[in-house]
Amino acid sequence: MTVNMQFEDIQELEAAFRANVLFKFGGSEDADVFLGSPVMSQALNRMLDAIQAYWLESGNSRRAEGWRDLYVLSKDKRHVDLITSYAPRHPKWASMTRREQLDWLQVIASPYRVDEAGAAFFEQILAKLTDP
Amino acid sequence: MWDLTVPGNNDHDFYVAVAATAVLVHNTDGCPTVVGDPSAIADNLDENTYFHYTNEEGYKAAMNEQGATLRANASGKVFAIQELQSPAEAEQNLFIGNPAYTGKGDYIIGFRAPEGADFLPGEQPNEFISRGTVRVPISNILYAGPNPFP
Repeated sequence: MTVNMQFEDIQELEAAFRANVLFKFGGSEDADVFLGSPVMSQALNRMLDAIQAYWLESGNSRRAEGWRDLYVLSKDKRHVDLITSYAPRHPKWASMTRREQLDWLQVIASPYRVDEAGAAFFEQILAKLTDP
Repeated sequence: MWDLTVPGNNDHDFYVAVAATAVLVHNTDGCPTVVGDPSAIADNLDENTYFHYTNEEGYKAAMNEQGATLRANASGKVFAIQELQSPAEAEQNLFIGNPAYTGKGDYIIGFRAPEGADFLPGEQPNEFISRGTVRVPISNILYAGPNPFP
């Protein structure tokens, strides 16, 4: 069952989204369970999608593109070490296919998303994990 | 010091008397000790009853002859809730489906908060957090062992 809610203005959503991103990648013990949560991942993706949709519908495509372009992992490598160290904690990591490993990395990395360059970047991460 | 050696005949389960409560102790190599009877939990719930969910490794590390030592995490917190949840429910509700936390709902330590422990409300209903390690005497444990709820 879906849940609908409304913000009074876009700043409220943007503030909540930014706070969540800061928290998720802040490296705290409290954030640890959220870092690998598919639920948290999906929530952040939806928030980012909603922010972009708002700016597009407002006629400000440049602002929408700004948000879209900002959350691409290959362009923002601040969190690579955290993602790299967290990934092998999946209990099935060693037996996962490459596709499954990429999907898991995407969960950890969200809302940073994978473009073509990002996919290649993930491959580098996987290689680093396989052969440190 | 309790001598939990079972004499002869390969028995693994036996009863010992602790205060006025019969406590089942299961004590074989590689098999975590079980305290209490899960079927009695529902009849003993009150506002001072908490459940700490963990995996087998965490359970083994927590349980000792005196009771349970719930060690604070790196943030100095011990989490507990006042709901009975199945392993699957705990993994989804408490550990929000994180695969890295698989198995964290497999064991529960149900207890009455010991004197001095202060479980304050957490970030979701029925979640409580105590600051610092909590030592639960065995007399305060209602049930500790594999999560018996389907």
